[in-house]
Amino acid sequence: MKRSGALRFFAMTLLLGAGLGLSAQTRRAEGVTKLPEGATVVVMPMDVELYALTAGGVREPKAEWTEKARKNLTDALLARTAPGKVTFKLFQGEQNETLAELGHLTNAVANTIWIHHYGAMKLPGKGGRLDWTLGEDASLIAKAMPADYALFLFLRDSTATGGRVATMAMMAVLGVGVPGGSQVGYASLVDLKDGKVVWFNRMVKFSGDVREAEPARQTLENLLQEFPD
Amino acid sequence: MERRIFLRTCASCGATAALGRTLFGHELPERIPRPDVKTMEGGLWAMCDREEEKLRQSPLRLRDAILPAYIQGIACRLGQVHCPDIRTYVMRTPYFNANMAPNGMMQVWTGLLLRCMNEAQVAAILGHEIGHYALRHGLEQLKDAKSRSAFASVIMVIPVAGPLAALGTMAGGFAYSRDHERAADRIGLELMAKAGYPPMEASHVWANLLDELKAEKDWSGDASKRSVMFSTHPQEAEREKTLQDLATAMGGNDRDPGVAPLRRAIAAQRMEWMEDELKRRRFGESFALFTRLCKTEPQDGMACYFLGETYRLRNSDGDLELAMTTYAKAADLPGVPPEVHRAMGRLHRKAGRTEEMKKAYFRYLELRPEAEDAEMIRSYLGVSQ
Amino acid sequence: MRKSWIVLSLLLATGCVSPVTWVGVPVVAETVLPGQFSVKGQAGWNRLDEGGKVDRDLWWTVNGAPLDLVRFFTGLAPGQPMIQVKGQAAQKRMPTFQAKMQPEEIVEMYEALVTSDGNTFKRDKLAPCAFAGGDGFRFEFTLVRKSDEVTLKGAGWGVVRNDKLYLMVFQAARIHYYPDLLPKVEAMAASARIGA
Repeated sequence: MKRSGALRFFAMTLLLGAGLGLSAQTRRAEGVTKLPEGATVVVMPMDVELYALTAGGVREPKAEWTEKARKNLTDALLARTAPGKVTFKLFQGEQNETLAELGHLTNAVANTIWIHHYGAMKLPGKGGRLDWTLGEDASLIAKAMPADYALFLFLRDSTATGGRVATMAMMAVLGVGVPGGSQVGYASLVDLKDGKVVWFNRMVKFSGDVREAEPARQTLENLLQEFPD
Repeated sequence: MERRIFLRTCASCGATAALGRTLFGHELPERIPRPDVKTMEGGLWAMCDREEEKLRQSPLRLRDAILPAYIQGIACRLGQVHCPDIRTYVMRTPYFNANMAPNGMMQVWTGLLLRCMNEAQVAAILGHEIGHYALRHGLEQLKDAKSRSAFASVIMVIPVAGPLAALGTMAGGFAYSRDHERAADRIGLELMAKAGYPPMEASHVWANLLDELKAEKDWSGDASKRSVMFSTHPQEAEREKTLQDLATAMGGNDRDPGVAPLRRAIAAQRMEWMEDELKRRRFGESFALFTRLCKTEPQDGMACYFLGETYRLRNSDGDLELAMTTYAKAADLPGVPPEVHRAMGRLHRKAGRTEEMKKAYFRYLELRPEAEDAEMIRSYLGVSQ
Repeated sequence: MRKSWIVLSLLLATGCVSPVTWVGVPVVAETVLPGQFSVKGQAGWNRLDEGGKVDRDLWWTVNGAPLDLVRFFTGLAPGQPMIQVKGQAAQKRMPTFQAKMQPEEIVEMYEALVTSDGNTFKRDKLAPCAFAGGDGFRFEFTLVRKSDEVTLKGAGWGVVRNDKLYLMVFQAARIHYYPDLLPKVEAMAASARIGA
């Protein structure tokens, strides 16, 4: 799912630096405080990619880093499973065209929440509530893999390499800011009964590393802020 | 958006300079094993794999039983030992493009298939892309990009877009070495010849595209908006000439270029693609394309109808009259869609020719009683529902 | 969607406060462009306010333009394009409204507007339909947006009055958003009025 989401979020960080309005917006839909005890959350295939940012500004995809990051994030997520509370499990159902279309919609919904809920373009009709949905077709996910909720997770991480760090330092002396590494991501929790987005969070950071287990766990904590488990 | 850089890197068009020789008289390199994830090539592959997954799920991917298998078949015959590693995807998008990623994923766009006059022309393009792939040009290009800091500014200015849109945007911002394209052209010719196609058809692909671009320039006065492929490929005229000379030297140009097999394979979708073509509103290009199709096959009623549509939509002085003449001619040809009668009905109605209008519209409704606009047409005819 | 993105990018790039905002639609009998073209307002809708500028292409949404969008073209005069685009060649490609256009040509004009960046558009239905007190037409379509590959469904209503085109087009994600909002939009279309 969600490639253009990736591009947009990156575009935003590049355009913006840290300038995204970080106003306190609610991360939970109205009436959502905690998931019911014993709830199961299916973790959809994560959209995670890691890059090395070189001196010249080229982002080189790093398959090995991406694999590690995916494993670290998955481990950290599954470790959140608390007995009698919320159980996380990985999506292992079969992909089909409807799920793909839902994936595209999830992406569009995430973009929209980013712009209209967290961003500057607020929709007065929403009254500040987190009020978006994938619709009842979301139940098809539960059909492919029985669960109460689905968690979508997206992360792009670029890490400045040696040459880049040197360039940053040099340009800083000249008073020019050169972006270093960054982490941009979002996570979205969907109720599979009715498709409602019950919780959503987005993250823009200029530090962090998901290639190692502990920092990856911290990144996940950041991403899952106010997660209702 | 950096993803797109690599997507483009994936896409095609790399370098053989490293090899220092052409492949003429040589076999293709051996099959490419999956690279180690720790390497740069491994990073590129992993990324292309994810792209491929998205491509598979794209609503724009053609899923019918005939055409994708037909294209895969051509790629396989050309790719020889690489056949098991090549996976082709036909994408519905009205632009002229094909590309192949380092991991073996090949995209062919419908705008390209619509423009090919025969199977040999399709083979010329696929062969060219397979050449890039087999010689690992994508990797060369990534290495090259890494060393060039100018690249960074390109990354920054590109507007964001989706998987298909990505290619076109990137191509404009990044020019490839002519040597690389020349090398891929040569390999393409060789693969074509080996697979039994007349190599001369490769030069015709470029000649035809060149005609379209010229026609567009004449029409819109805007030469800056060029074909995705052209902006990254060597000077078209020079290229056409080189391909021609090489093909002459190679011989075998009296072989069957395969007009009928291509037409059969695309028959079910051809009308849809022609509609897509007109929606680009590049009437100069469309005009050149449909004129070419009509001239090559004067009995091609469908192409002739769409030539009429091009006139109608272009709507310059005298175009509506030309549209009418063209429709009238098309209406008597085989393969013309019933929509030709609707098109004539519309022009008659606007000109106040009531009797002719009725005749044309009734004919349309007779041939397409279930048309989605039947109610509208009946209202023009004053017929109650 | 394009509009909001352009707006957003500008806003972000300059770091300025943009005059462009979404504002709530009042629930009154006459809104859109009172006195010229109006529909009955409904709760929950937001309209794009481009700093008070009166555009001929007005945008409304409930959940955000990428998910659902109603566009009102309020009185396009002959020779006018649906939108102004940058670049002479690009503008030349954009069709302009002609008083003698038939409904299918008006749909074609909208189609050109939304497919100029490679989206695929299929008209699913075209039929006569009363709109804004006149003999107009109604059409339906399916659109695949190339930028994010979301499939959208749409419905539009139009009428030509005194040589001017009044058109209202709704498009929304095929999953959930289109069926969810269509009844409301139908009611909105039924309440459309031209003039005071």
